[in-house]
Amino acid sequence: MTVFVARRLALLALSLLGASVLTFALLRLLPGDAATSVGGITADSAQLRAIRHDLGLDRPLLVQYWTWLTDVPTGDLGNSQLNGSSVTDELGEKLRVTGPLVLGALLLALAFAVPLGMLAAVRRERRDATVISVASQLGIALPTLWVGLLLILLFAVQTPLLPAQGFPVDGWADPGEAVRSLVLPTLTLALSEGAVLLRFVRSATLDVLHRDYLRTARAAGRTRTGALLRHGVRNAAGPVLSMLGVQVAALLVGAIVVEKVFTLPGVGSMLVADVGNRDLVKVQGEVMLLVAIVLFVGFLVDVAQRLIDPRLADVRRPEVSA
Amino acid sequence: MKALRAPGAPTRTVLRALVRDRNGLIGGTLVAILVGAVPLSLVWTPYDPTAVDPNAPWLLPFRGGHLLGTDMLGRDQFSLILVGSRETLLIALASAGIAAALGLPLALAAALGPRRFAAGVVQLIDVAIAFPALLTAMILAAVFGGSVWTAAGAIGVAFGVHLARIARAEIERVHGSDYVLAATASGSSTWRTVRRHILPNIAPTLLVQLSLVMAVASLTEAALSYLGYGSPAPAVSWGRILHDQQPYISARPLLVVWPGLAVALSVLGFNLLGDALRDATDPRLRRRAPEAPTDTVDVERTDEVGTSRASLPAHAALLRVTDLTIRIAGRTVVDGIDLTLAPGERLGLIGESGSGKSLTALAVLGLLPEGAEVTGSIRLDGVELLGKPERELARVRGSRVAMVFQEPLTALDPTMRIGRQIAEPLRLHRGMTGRQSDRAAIDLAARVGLPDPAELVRAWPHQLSGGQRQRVGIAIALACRPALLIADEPTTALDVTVQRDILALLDELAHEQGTALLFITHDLAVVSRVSDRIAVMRTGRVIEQGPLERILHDADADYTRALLAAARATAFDATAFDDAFGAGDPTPGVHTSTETVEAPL
Amino acid sequence: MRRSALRIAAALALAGPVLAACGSGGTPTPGATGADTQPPAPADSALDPNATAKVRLVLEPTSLNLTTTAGVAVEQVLLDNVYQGLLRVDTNADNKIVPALATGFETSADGLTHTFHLTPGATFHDGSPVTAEDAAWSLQQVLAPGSKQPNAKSLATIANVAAPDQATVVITLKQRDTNLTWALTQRVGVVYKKGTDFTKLDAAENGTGPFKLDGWQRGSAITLVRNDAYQGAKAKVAKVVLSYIPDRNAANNAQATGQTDIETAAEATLLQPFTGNDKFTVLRGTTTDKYTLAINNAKAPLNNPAVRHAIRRAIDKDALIKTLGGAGVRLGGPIPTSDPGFQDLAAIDPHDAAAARKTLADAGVDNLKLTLKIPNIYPAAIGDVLVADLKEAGIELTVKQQEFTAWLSEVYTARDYDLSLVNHAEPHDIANFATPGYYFGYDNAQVRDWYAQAVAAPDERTRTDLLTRIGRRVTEDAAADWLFQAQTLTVVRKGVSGAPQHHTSSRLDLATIGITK
Repeated sequence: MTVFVARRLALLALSLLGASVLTFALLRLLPGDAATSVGGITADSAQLRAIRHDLGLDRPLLVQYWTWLTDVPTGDLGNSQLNGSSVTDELGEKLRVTGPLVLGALLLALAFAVPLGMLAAVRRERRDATVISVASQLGIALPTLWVGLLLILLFAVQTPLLPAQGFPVDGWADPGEAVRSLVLPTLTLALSEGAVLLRFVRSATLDVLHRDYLRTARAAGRTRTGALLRHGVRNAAGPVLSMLGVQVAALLVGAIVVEKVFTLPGVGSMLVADVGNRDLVKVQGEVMLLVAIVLFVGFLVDVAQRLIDPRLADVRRPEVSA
Repeated sequence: MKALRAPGAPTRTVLRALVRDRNGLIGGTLVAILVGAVPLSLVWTPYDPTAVDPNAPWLLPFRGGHLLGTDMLGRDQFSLILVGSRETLLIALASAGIAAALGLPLALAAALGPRRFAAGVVQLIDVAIAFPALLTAMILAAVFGGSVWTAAGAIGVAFGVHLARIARAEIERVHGSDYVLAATASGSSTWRTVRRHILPNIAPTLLVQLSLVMAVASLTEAALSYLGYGSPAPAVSWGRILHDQQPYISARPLLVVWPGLAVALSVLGFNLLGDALRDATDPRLRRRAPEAPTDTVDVERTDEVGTSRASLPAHAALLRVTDLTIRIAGRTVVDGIDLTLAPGERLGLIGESGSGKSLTALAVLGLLPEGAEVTGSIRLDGVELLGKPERELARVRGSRVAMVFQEPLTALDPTMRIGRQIAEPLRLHRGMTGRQSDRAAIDLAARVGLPDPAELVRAWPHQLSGGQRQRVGIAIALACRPALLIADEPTTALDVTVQRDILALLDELAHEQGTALLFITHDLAVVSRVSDRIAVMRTGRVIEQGPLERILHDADADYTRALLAAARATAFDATAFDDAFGAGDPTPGVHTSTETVEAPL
Repeated sequence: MRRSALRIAAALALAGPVLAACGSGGTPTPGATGADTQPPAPADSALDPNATAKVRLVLEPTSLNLTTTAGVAVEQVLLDNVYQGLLRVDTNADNKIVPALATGFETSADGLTHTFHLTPGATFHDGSPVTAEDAAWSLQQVLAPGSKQPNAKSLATIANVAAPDQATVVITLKQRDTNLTWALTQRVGVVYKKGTDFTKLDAAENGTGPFKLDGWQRGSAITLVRNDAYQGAKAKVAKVVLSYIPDRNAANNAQATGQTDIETAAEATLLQPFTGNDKFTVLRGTTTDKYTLAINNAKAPLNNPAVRHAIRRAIDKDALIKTLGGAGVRLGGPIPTSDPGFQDLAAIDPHDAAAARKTLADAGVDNLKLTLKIPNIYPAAIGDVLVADLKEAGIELTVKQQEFTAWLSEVYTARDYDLSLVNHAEPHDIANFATPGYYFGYDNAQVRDWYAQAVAAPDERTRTDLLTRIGRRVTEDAAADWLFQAQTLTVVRKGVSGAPQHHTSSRLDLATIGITK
């Protein structure tokens, strides 16, 4: 296991390195740069050249990449090209919004997707399962934007229970207020992601429901539910977990839209704004953070799966399916 | 260990299954409406969808001849929605096309390429999955200007890598399967193998994934429009309409409803179709609706003769099944059978696959699939089991009556240590815990002849051979010394030499514990080894029942005689059991024609 | 010589105030709501001096450094409130130039020497007095060779800046410049403390205005607190939170639910919650936002004036204003109502699709296919209307939405476009049509000559007359099309007085805002 974790971590570092090259290169395709943004249309070409020089944009790309990359391991993601502020600091600030939002949405989604998904699978032929299935299909089909707007309309405008938008200016100084402003966004994000998750859970549960070992367990004296809880959950957890990495990626992207709908100062809206302003050093930092989160979740999932499924630990691949 | 279906064969079956499936029908209809709207919009729209009428803004539905009303520019909403179908379908198809064009080669490279290269590709896929798709969309839009194509490009790339990961797993699964290995061994080139064997077999999975891509594409387009990277005029997309109307959600909710509904319904259509497609191509789920067993039996139907009723007195019977009828999905699969077992008696239940013998056994334990209708009576120790709640049935299972299944490879929970599983009935019925049950598990493992039991109980199922796993299955079944053991083809899946050992073990333990045995098989050679009495089942009925010797040598029913003749023709020799086991060898071809017909669960 | 240009974010900022007002009964109908004047402010004693005013703004600045970063967003926050120049403009009096750090100035007869007298008692936020030396030094930094300050060129006529004594600044010009005093009201005229490190302005401000910068929660808000040592009329609230809410719907919700006190740049079609509701006042204000359809004069077939006229005739501006909600006025030419030289030029190229079609046919242009490049911050509806209008004249228009930065490099810098739509928000920007290198691709020697004369004009009348002539000529040449001049709507909660009303996207005087106890 230790060897596995070590190898997997090395791979993670390698992936991040690859991602950094990809990110850096792709962003250089964008028309315009920070100097365009700083200079706007009041700067003439001589001024633009001077601004480029000041920002170091006239150095060879490899040099720019290397300078940026060598600082990353020290936790220094560089400084904004527009206002010089530390990218690391600002990301830390924004994560205080996006972190709780995404994590809350994930937990909330899991909290309703897992039991409902299992229920939908177990009671596949019954009416309540049909209701769950239809609801989850709708949950997937409805655009996040729509759900968010509807929730705002219902719970902030018509009945003013929660803030319609924004995050307290003094952040978490008043935790109650901060939490209140995250309720609707979290719910919005959780609903659409939860609906997707629910379908994974349902499908994974359906899969194990047909497994012989559940029958064996029942033949040995377990009830239907007992067998499912004792043997089914562990086995269904694998496929659901393997989707979790992708789900977290989807949540982070979903957060971009949700942050815009609710005008939250999070990593997502920061990313959109910085791409628009061509503050590419910041964009690099933000993308690397998002990629790192997704890859790290993937790493955790791999470790968890090996803990759950002993077959994965064996060097020789076991038979895939029977 | 079913052979994978032959490439290309079941297109019609899939189609038929799609139509039968309610999801498929609804999804198909929705997608058909979407697809139908496109040519319609090309030849006819009630109004010019891009025409602005400053004198007719904000009309309600049905006002001024506008079916769905007009927006703030006075444009006819119905025409806009109709024309929007083009962009939606285009973006769905383009995204799916790009995803497939990118994902498939990546998957093939990752699965079949040289090892280091493949590892690199896998790594690349992982990184690409983690890369935010929205950023790709923004970069594309910034470089090329926002349009359907930049959106489709971003969505296609994002899902292409996702698809590559799924397809790679599928390819590896298919590639490892017997017939592909055989094809490779016979000198088929890699490309030929890919084309002939791999692609057709991963096609269903790909189709399902692509239908999901189409669903997500429509949604993502809406999100991109919202962020300012959507498709601009004169192109009309539902995402754009939705985005344009969203500020008026409280003043003019209907205007937001139409495009939202259009997006939601087409996403629903793609999703339902994808679900139905998966169900239709998944053989496991297809077995839910069993075919009529009668269709597949090629022996001539015989009259019911000589079904001798059990003559034991009622009070002495351990198990008494009376007039048991099982209906699944409206079809009668077991039709009024009667069976009786005395304590310690050993009854062989034989018949073709699909004759209903396994279902009968499952009915005794209350393990029939959901939705099976059971009538008649099943009494164990004189107590009626039919209609008992699951909780009470569970108390009987594993303690009074236990079962050994056909497939030792899948019958054990792969995530639980052997010892735990052996001890499970003891924990459940004897209230054993911790050390106590661990010791008992070791004892049981030793009794079923597992080597080095103290070590073995700490092993995982996948570390055991098939024969060892079946011994574990027997250990679980006999842990609580049940009065009745039902063995459902327990040796069919095993090697010939192992079969003999397992039979001997069952025989020995049943004798030793005085356990009654209901032994189910299609193999006369096997049943004659472990049975005192034989019941022959066919098409859901017991057509003949009697002592072993009489059935073997003087069967009443033509069917039984035909069965015996068939068995003798293959390998059966009543005096030479060793050779006889060959008849039970599950070589593909001997009984696969009816294999999929059976409905074990 | 280009005096002033549209500013990067002027365009960005005005994504909002284009659209319309609402009628009664929940039906948004075009037509003007919104008061032109606000009720008189209550006596100071009725106001809460410790109050916090929460103001919705659209576009967040990318930096707080006026000396490096172009864009109106940073000016909107900092000019007048934190930083001041010798002069400023009164947005409530048609951008009249009024005293700020200077109490007044004299101009010599030849118009080449301006002598400014500093306001006594003015201090920087660090407590040190504002001296003539500081003012001269600040202007000299703009003029220094290699200066990268945005719009530095608008002071290019200055030959010398001197501080003969602590309270007097003398500016000597190379030539007459009627634009000088205007330029001094803008960011190039800001007075910094001598020796200020301009590279550090983002982190450390030392202004002279009625507010001090309190904090910047990036992506969310900028907070200002009252400068209690201010020598002039002190701010009426203790604190102002400027919340950046780009989304018009979200901004509306925020105002309706009391998350903000003042919503600037409100959406005209979304005023329904506020009209006929005595908890709110909707103010209608003037802007110099000219929604300009740039036509690439240098590119065939658009270099043919007939084609440009046809395009102008094809577009029904009145209908456009109406469909977008009525928060705009017809603007026939390049000069907005509050700028010198304004005249109604709507009679040139009146809307007539048939005539447009005929003009094109006569010019031998058929099957005209054009692409419109439009930054994605503007409502897509404008593009939709243009597509429909041009279609009637037989022109097939494709819209390409792009980010503003992409627009800057493709259209503004590389001039790779047919048509482009941008809100030229800056006042006094007629010089763009007298600058041959400008992205319009328009060049007329007569116009250039008139403009040079206007800059050096001896008196206001001559100047205005010349500007009027330029406006007409540019319009007659169909150098561009001006769709409308936007009006800005500001929603004010009851109990809030002194809200900024006009030109709010570029200047936002927050010191007058008061909140009733």
